[in-house]
Amino acid sequence: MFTKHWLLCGALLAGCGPAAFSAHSRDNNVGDVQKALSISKAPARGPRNGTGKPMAFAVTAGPDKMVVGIDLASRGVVWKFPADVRSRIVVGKGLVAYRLGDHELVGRDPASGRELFKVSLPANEQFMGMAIDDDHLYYVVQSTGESKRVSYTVGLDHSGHEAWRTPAPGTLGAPAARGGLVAVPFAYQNLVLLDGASGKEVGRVRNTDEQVTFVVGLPDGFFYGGGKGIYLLDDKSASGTRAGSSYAEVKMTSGQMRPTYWFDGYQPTQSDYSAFDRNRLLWRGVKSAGGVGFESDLAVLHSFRYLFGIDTKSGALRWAYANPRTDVVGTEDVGDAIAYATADGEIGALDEATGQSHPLATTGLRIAGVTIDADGIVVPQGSADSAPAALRASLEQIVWDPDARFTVIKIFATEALGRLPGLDTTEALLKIVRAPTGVPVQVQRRAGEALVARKDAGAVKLYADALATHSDFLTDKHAVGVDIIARAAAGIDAKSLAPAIASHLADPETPQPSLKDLVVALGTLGGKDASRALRTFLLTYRADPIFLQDPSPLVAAGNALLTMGPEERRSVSFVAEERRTLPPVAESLKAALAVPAKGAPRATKKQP
Amino acid sequence: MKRLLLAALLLSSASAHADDVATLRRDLQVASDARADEAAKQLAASKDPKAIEAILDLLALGIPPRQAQVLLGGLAGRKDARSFDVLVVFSHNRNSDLRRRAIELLGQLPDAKVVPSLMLALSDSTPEVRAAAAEALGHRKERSAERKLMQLLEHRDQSAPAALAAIATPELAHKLAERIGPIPDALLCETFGEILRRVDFGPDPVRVEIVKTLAKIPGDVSTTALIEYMQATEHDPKRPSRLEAESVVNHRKGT
Repeated sequence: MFTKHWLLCGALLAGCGPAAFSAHSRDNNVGDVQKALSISKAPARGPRNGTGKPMAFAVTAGPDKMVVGIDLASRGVVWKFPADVRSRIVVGKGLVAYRLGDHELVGRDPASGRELFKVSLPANEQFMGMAIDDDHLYYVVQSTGESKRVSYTVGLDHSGHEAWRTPAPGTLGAPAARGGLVAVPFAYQNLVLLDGASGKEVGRVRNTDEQVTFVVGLPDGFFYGGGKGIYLLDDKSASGTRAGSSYAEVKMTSGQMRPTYWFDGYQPTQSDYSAFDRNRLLWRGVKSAGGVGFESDLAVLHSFRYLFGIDTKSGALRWAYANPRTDVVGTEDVGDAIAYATADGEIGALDEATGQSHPLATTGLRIAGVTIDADGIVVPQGSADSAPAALRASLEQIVWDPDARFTVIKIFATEALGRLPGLDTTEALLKIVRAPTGVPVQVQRRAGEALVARKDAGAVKLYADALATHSDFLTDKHAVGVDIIARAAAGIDAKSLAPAIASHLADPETPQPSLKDLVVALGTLGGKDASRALRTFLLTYRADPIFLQDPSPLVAAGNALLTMGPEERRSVSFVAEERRTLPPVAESLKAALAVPAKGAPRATKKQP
Repeated sequence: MKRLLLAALLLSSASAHADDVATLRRDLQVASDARADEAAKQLAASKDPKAIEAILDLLALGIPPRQAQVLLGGLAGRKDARSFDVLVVFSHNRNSDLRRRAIELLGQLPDAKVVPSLMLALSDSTPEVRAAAAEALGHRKERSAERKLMQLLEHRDQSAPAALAAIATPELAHKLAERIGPIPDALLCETFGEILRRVDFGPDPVRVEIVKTLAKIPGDVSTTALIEYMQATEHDPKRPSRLEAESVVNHRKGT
């Protein structure tokens, strides 16, 4: 009898295999992954809420927080209830759910807002996140009271009854669900796949190249990753490596913005609406030949009030959108458009191709966070012809935005502006460079670099007009950025601008740090105006202690003169030998004079 | 004793030698800093006709600002047209003391070609430089400076009233009267006061209008301007503009 009992247990254990999240479970097995994926049914395209209509579910700001259902078809609020919502709202067929306060989950009917269920969360369980599909709501909690950390993945049916609860030793991240399969980041390196009906582990991917901090279920499949890109969950995931997997990342041409592909599932704060909802990358992963890509090769960078459409392959900016006045608090890639909601209650959508904005609803609410369920929504397509001009205008608008919070975004916009062709862009960059106020210094510097680098030969008149302005107490004019303009002029060999640059070299209002660039530009451009200005500058200040700390403009002037002819060389020789000349200037010029001039005969050593 | 006498003779000879322009020039170029400073003073004070050429050469070839300031002082009162080019360069120097000095000296040159440099200096960011330019233009009665001096007044620059008053015409006085409000009362009253005290300004009915304009400006500043005008014209008690000023002042005193 005793033996029989143990044989039964052994047989049962053999049939069950290791428990879910076991350290002994098999990982990176192609067969397991294929079997798991066979469970996942692709959701139908369109809104998920089951009403057939696009909707948004918002949480209002302020002390009297409300949860609100907004019908985007009829453009109005259809229900709202007071609720201390503490999570992102998830939307499934006939169910929206959120965490209420610290210790409850609430389910409501999307159409009416009627409460369907309320589930208590134990006080010692830290909520990590939740996901939903047509049949179940899944959430992950982490026990905080036990000495050894235990996490749980829980499946509820749509009436709120607990269908299963699967423990895990260690840390779990926020789950994702797609058509009956649940994916849960586990112990930072793994993605555990559970059968949504039973909670049993059906497969596991272990990534050996980087941490897996997120997973999300999208129409084309599950996508997971860490900080640098996205992996498609497919057969190749079993390789456990980036190179062997279906992997893609957005090419970013600027180092200013670090893209966040999805919310970090291991950070409990990111299970709620937060600043991360206002600073992230929006994308739709799609299966492509032999791997994964981004739908329309587009990703959208959302940063507070601004959205940038980025070509994922080239990194080029396709469009930019600047929301007037208030932050965009929530965004969603809904297929052919980017739906968004603003802090002052506007809900709209941007045409994915052009970034043109179209209003969807005006709620009058102060929105703190939002989930927009509007997959497949159609917005009028903007004209592609006006796209370059519109992009330039948008980027300029961002750079000149008086809101002082966004220096990094403004630098990003300036870099993007610098990559656009045309004289209009040169003019826009020049305007930034010359701004006496209203633009952060870092932005001006970046605009200056772009202006010099673009070598726009058609900009001579623009530069001439700019150089004609001198600082003037009476007219309150300020000559800003003359050093940059001089470098730009030298870069296109605009010899006609030498007199104007010379006049700024002689102008006492020209900031001392700008002088060297003016000197170098004059040396490059050459000519009589340049040599005269350089000689006067060198002689006037060669003995002036204000150049003792940084004599480089004087040394540069001397070096430039040395290339301009014998008369100029004599002037330099005088300066180098004269006792009153600042020692560092004299030493540098003596060294320069020791190098024979081009074309000069070699000095021969005299015989004694 | 003989030795002492010989030493004194040698010293005396050296001193006389030091007055030599060429020697002073060389000292400025190659001697110790202290000796160069002394040489600059001696060269600036030198009556030798060759001194000015040496000064201009040294300024053009570049010397420390301290010595340049002394040598520029040596050009004062000479009104030598040859100094024009050097002074124009120094009117743009990064050292504002040197700029101010150059503008003062340019203002002394009789040639009209100095006017553009003086006008440009009205736009200088340093008040002392603007003041030197305004004073020079006023002294020269440079009417073409009217617009810029008006701008200077609108920028509340203390150097504007005297210069504007110096070039004022009845038309300019009328324009000023229309600027009550935008221009601070104190500066406007000072300008009107200076105009009233100009012996060459007139005719008297225009002065009467100015007095009436001052009467429209409340406060001590306008009263002070009127009293100063009355004091300046005590020799002509029946002048209508003075009588008008007296009437306004008495009315304000309540007598």
